[in-house]
Order: sequence, then structure tokens, then C-alpha cells
Amino acid sequence: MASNQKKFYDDSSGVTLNYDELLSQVSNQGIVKTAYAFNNSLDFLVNFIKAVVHEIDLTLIDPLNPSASLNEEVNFKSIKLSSLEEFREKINSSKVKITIFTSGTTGQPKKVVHSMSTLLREVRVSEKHSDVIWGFAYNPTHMAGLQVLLQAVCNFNPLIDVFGKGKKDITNILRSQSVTHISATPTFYRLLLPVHDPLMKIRSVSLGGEKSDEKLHANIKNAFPNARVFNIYASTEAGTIFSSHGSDFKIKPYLQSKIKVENNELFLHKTLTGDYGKTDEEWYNTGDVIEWIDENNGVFKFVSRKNEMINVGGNKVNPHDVEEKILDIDGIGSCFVYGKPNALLGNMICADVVLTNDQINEVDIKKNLRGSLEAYEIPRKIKIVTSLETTRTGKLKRN
Amino acid sequence: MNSAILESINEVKEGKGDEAITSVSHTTHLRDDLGLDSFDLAELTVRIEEKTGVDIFENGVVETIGEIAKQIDG
Repeated sequence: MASNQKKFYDDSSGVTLNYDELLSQVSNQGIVKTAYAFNNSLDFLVNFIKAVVHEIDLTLIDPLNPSASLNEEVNFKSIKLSSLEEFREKINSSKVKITIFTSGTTGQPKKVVHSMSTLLREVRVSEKHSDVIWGFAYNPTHMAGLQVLLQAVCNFNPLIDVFGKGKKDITNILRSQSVTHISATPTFYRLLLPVHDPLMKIRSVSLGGEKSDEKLHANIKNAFPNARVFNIYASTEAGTIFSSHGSDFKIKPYLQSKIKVENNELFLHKTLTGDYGKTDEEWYNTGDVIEWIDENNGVFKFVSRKNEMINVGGNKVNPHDVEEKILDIDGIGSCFVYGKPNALLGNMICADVVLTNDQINEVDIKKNLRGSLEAYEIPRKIKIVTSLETTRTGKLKRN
Repeated sequence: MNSAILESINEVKEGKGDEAITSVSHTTHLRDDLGLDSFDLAELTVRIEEKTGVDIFENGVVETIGEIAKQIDG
């Protein structure tokens, strides 16, 4: 098979596109929609690539956060692209500005304008990536989805769309399409796992966007026994910054002067970020709280998001710690811990829990937590639910 | 007296591993007699509100069962 006969996109319900078709759509004259709301994944991806190649500035809009006009179109003229390598070179050298929005997990979406240099910073191109097949599990209007898209396109890999599909469909698709790489939020894996039969062809599993936990890593190991597992730290403002095989992250030498930590909060130098509207700011405060493991060697782990800490009568509660303890209990599939405003305490800790064993109840869960959590950390109300609500980027909804 | 009160108190008590109680009176004191702390009281208000639609702390802190009953019955 010639290399440009390779598949670019497949949604497993009949919509597919090869790289040669992609190249012809991108090089023949056409239009770019400059404020694109995500509705059909393939149209969206092709529009994005056209904008990059033709250097037509683009705003990516999640339809649930409409904040720009949707009808603008820009025409582009035909260009000659004689090979995939030439196509990749166009992407690498593009001067396009891409505007994206934060997911708004904990507040109003914020706008950030990116150049290709931040979007491509952690994209790796090499021969060993040539046979990769991606399970595309992210919303493509946000940073993580764009990172997977660019990683795939720059290596001419297929993207197999599994975003927003159900558990059974996803496992069937991963198997039948021989997917080798997945990058997704911990929530995506929690909703997917455990699986009945391990997926042996998956070689790489990445998690990002939220805190993961040991139980999830154990489930991932069982479901994907041949996979290397990466934790990725990326943000809408700066793209991918760190990755690691465990919960400890190491600051790479080239980033050392661009990262600082104050009061355990992580700051990124403005040269790492896109334009988020505060050009006079030298350092961007990520709002992520870290803990040093080995400060001299730049090794740390993430503790929480600063604005996710819940104040309960003056005690600070990290919802992730509580979730981790709940997930340790047998019979719990997934859970979500949050603060409910309360006149007496400021907030009361509550949890929504999905059971895998319906023999256990609220009292059992609380009893189980008494040995491992402080009294004020134990959820006072535990609601048994059939599923947890996620955001458009596949994270658990907080606040 | 509204059964939601006793039911809610016992949900709070069982949740922290205490024995359920069988009866309360109007003079029963939430802290002194039932041993409920501020976390328990916060939970109690939520549970009673779910059952009756009444926020028992709406007009200030309540200390006895009688005061709760008065809030619920208007």
C-alpha cells in the first residue's frame, strides 16, 4: 500500500478518509470556516488542517460555549502538495493562529490564542511512530484533542474516533480497528474499565486533564497488558508540558528556567503559553498545587487544583484524596466528590458513587472510610447513581 | 411530631457508626443529648430539607428537637 493510501480518519460507522483524499481536499481550492463549532468530527478535523496549511486564523468553538460568529468563511487557492512530507512541512512551518477555549470545568471558559510552536512542542515524529493507530477519545475543539490530532497527522497515522461513544462500542472499535495508542482523561478510562478481555494490541495509554489514582492504573494494566502508561500534564494555555510513567513528574532541563513554584503552586513562563489576554504577565499561574518529591532534581507530583479544594468548617479537603479512598472500597466502580454549599460549615462533602456491587450502601461506605479519612473528609451524603456526569472534554464536572 | 426528624437523626447517627435511637421529645437537645457535632448538624439540615423542603437553619441555629419541629410546622 502506498503511504498516502493510509487511512486518516474512521468513525466506525462508514465515514472514512484516506491521507491522499485529505491531501487533495487541502491542496485544491476551497474554504475554511474560521469560527468552527464542533459538530461532525471529520469535517472539523479537515477544516482545522486546511486552516493550518493555508495559514487562515481559526477559532475552535465548543457548541456548548458559543461565543463567536459561526458563519465566517475564507476562500483559499489551490496549492501544490506533492507528498505527505511536503504536507507535514507546511504544518510545521505554518504561521496560523488558533484560538481555543478552556473547558470551563471549574468556571467560565477562557480564550487562548496559540501559534503552532506551542501546539507542536511535544509532537514527536519518527519511524517508530509510523504504524501507530490512534483511538481518538478527545473533543477536538480543546487542547488535548488537538495534541492527538497533530501527533497523528505529523506521523500519517489513522485516527479512529471513539469520542462520546458507549463502553461496549468503544471496546469493539478498539479491537476491530487494531488501535495501538489511546490518549484520554482518567474519567474516560474509569467509565470504560474493567473490560472482559484484555486488549493486547494497545501499546500506549496516556492519561491527562485530571488526577488519576492507583486503582485506575491497576485497571489499565489489566485491560492493556502490553501498554506503556503515561501521565500527561497539559493545559489549554500551554499545551503539553510534562509526561511521566508514574505519578512523579520530572522537569526537563530545557524547561527548568521556564517553570517556577511558589507556595507549592506551579507557574509557567509566558514563553511557554499562548496568548490568554494578559500580555503584561511574566508568569502564568496554573492553579495546580504540587508537592516536591526531590526539589533539587525537579521531581514533583500534582496534589490538586487550587480552586478544587473544598473548605469544610475551616478544614481544607482535597476531593481527589477522598475519591481515591472511596475507589479503594470493593464494589465501587467510579465516584465523584464535591462540596455542597452549607450555611453551617461553608460546604458539606458529598459524593456520587457508581456501584459494581449493589449489595453495599451509604452506611457501609462511610464505615469503610472511617479508618482512612478524617471525620470532616468523609462525605456526609453519598448518592448512589448509575453514571457520572462529564464535561464536553470528558472530565468529571466539578462545581 | 414529624417522622422525618427521627428518621433523619438516625441516618446521621448510623452514618457515623452510632446506635439508632427510638424516640426524641421536644426538649431533646441536639448537641448535649444526642451528641451531634456541627458536621452532623449540617448533614441533618440537608436530610430534613430533602424530606420536608424546609431549611431548619433558615431563621438561625436550632438547638432542640422542639425548635426543628416548629420550623417544619411553620
